[in-house]
Amino acid sequence: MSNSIRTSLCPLRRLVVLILASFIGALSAGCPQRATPPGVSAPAVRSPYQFVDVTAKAGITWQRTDGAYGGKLFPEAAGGGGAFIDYDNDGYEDIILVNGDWWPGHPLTGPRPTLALYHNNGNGTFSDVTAQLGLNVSLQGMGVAVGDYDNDGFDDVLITGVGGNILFHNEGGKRFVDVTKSAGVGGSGWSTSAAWLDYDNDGRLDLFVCHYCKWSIKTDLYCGGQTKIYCTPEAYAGETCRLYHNEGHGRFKDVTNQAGIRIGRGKALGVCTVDFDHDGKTDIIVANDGEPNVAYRNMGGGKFKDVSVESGLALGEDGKPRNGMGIDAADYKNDGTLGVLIGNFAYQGAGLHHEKGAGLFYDEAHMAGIQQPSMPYVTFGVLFADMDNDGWKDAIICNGHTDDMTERSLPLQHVLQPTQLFANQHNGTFVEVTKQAGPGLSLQLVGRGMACGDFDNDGRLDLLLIQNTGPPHLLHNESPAAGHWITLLPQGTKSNRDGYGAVIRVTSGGMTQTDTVRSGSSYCSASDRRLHFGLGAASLVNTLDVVWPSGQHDTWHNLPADKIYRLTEARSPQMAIYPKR
Amino acid sequence: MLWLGVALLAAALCVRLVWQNRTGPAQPITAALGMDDSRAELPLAPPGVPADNAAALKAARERLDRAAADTTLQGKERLAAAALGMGDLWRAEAAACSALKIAPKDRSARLTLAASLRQQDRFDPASMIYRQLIAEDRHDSDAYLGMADTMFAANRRPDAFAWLARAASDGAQTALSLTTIAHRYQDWKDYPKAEETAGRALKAAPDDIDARLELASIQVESGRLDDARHSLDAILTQDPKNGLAYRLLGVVLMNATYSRQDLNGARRVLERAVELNPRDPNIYSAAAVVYREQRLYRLAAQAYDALLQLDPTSLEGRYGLGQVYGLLSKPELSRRQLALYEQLDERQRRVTRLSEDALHNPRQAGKHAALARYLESSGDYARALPQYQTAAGLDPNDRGIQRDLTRFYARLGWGKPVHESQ
Repeated sequence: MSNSIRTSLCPLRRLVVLILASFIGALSAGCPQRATPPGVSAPAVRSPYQFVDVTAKAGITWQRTDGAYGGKLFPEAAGGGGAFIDYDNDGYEDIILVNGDWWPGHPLTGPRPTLALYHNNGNGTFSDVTAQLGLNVSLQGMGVAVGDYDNDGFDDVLITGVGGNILFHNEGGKRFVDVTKSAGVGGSGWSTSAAWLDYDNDGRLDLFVCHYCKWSIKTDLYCGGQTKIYCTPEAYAGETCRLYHNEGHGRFKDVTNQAGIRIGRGKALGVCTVDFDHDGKTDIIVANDGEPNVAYRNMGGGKFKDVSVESGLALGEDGKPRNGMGIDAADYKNDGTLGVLIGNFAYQGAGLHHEKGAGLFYDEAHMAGIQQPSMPYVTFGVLFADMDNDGWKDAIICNGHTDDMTERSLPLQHVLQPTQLFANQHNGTFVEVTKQAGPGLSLQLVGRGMACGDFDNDGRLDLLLIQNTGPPHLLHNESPAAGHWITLLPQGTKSNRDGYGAVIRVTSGGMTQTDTVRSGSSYCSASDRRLHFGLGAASLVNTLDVVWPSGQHDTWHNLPADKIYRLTEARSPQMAIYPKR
Repeated sequence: MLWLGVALLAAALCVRLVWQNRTGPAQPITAALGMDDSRAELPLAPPGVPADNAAALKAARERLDRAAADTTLQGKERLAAAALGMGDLWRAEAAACSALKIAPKDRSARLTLAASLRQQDRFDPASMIYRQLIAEDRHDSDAYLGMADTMFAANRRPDAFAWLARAASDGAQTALSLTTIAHRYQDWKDYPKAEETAGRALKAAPDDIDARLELASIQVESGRLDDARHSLDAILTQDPKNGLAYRLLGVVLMNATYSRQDLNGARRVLERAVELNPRDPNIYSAAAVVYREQRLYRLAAQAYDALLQLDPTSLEGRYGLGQVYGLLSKPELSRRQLALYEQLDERQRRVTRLSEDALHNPRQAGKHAALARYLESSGDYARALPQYQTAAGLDPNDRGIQRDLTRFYARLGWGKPVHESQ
């Protein structure tokens, strides 16, 4: 009897336990989140990262100048960027560095600053070929964008800066020729970040150029108290970003107005070109300094619609505009949704706007563990990149203050700041691992531009950091336990040759990663345009799926890992073999 | 049966707990404003821009007219100050001049006159008055501050800071005076000076709550949150019902930069601040962010709603409510709030642009007139008035400006504009 009763009660007990368990689960789902991001208190912090500064060993001796000689002119604090570019198609990423210039009246001390081009010798060293290739040009430069606008197989270069842009055509990897005038992309004013994109999918790369403030030496304002300090952007009116349509034959047309790019909107410092509503057309997100960020949805027919506010990308969680600088986007959760990372000013924290539905974003930087550690810093370059090849994109932010006297007014603020690495915890959160990431990331810099690329083709992404003044830093990724990887060099045939806008899905080890081939992102910089995927323990890519801007859909199976592949539109992938030197 | 009963009881308890976690406490944050909980789900009427306030200005003018009947010196002083407060710069100027006819050395009238002139961008006569006051009393902090403000408005920033420094060193060393100077340093982002001056105010009067609040506010703004916490704890020990201190403490506790960030603590403190000071919109704004970070979206919506009741033009409120409605899966309500945000933002941008233009070109009548016309067209007559008067005063021969001013006065029911003191 008793047995039978016990037996009959057991299912009830189980039911109670089940009900309680389900409600406890529901309770915790409904409970307020912890004040600290979940990842912060994770018991074990994974840190297989190791970065080593190899700038000197690589033979890079260039230094950036801001042109300052006491006038505290506004652009001096803005800094600039750099690029990874394989200009001669030898399979090794070369480096372009953008310099400032002397202001009129600057004492003539030594040779005038110029851009720099370093050729990758393929053995860990670089050679300065600036003059040889025709890039010994002086300008108050800021940004660089890399793209093959004439589909001749060699990447061309746009340089931005105070006074307008310069477009250099790459003559077969032998020389760069200034074609600004004939191309019609010189513009005027103060251009910053730029990106190549094929917004109308006609197979030719168009150009989006961010513009910052209406400024000239004549209109420079006095900011500060009894001593002049660098102004903040609030002091100046914003300039309108420009969109140039590639008309073919090396000519571009300024279509800013007709495309719906808003006049006078924002003080743009960063641009990210990505299809944020997943409709197959490349959209544009612009990070603005002190103004709401702008999101342009590509409506087709050469038109864009400003959806900044409705998309949730315009402002921070507190409903206020922040001082946006660099920007990047990635599927960091590996679930097909996008996260948009934006570098902001000190005490604002970096923003991480995560997609909740097609094209709808909410700032989750706090919950993701990015906001709090980035709070003390002024963030310029930002990137998502899988630095340990575990198949999950990490976040890197490059910091440095704009006010060289900040310690005087804000004792807790410092001009020199660290570059921060955030390890992806595979659950939508990140943990800062800067201090465990080797000597390369222990540098305190006045950081501005940042690019990533695998300069020695060892399957690990390296970093290029640009300071406001002084030397750049090339950080070699020597992470010991890095997983398997695959690097893909897209080559459009019907689509633009660089394949910008192509969406690539890599499935391996039961997980699918998605990324977009694109130019732009970070701050005034251009990263290796090859797409790099970490594969963790998987030594095989089960499926590689590419949707090209032309609409061509290519799928390949069973590609061995740890190799670089050239993906030509509508053809089988070829392993790219580069000679070791 | 017993187990079944326990299970059902547990289930009911859990449902209630879950529901409370999703909907918040029984007493909503909006209760202090007399709003019931359901309001948070209602779209607000779209005020968009301030209502046509011609009637309010007409009534204010009538009050001034009645006050003008008092022909004593004190009556004229009061009239001048009231006119300055409502933005009728010409009336303030006239009333102050009238007071000075009775008592040419009257300090209050001279300060009001100088402030009126400064706001009309007539910097030279304003400076002259302040200098005279300083010559008569070298400890006159108000005069030093007036000089500093005049220099700042004239875009002479080094001079402005120099006069502020003189206010701090030579002006009256009272807590009130030093606190005011500290606040100006804070406004002008010189935090070390601001903190030093607030410290001196506290030295002059260690129990002065306003001085300590100023110090705490400076510490919050300059990111010194541990110090701010210390200052705020001291204030709340002294005055446990200080709503402003609670608000600032909430801001400290919710701040991600703060080493002891505590969202639950921030929430409790801000809810206490609401009880003490339910009409402070800044509390609701901060509380909304805390609720949102805790994923208590319904409470966040209530807080934004309360904020918008107090300040319908709040951009943060509109955007925040729009976003929270989105998170609550109410897309239509979200769209409506975000559309209102865009409408307000567009107006705010235009005002900012025109204001900056006027600020950087203070002597150009056309810049002030452009700002005045836009403010008038968007229904913000109170702010249009001083701009029209400044423009007309700077260029009395500009017929277009005079015509617009006459039309504007007629719209307010004020009759013909007269700049009596000219």
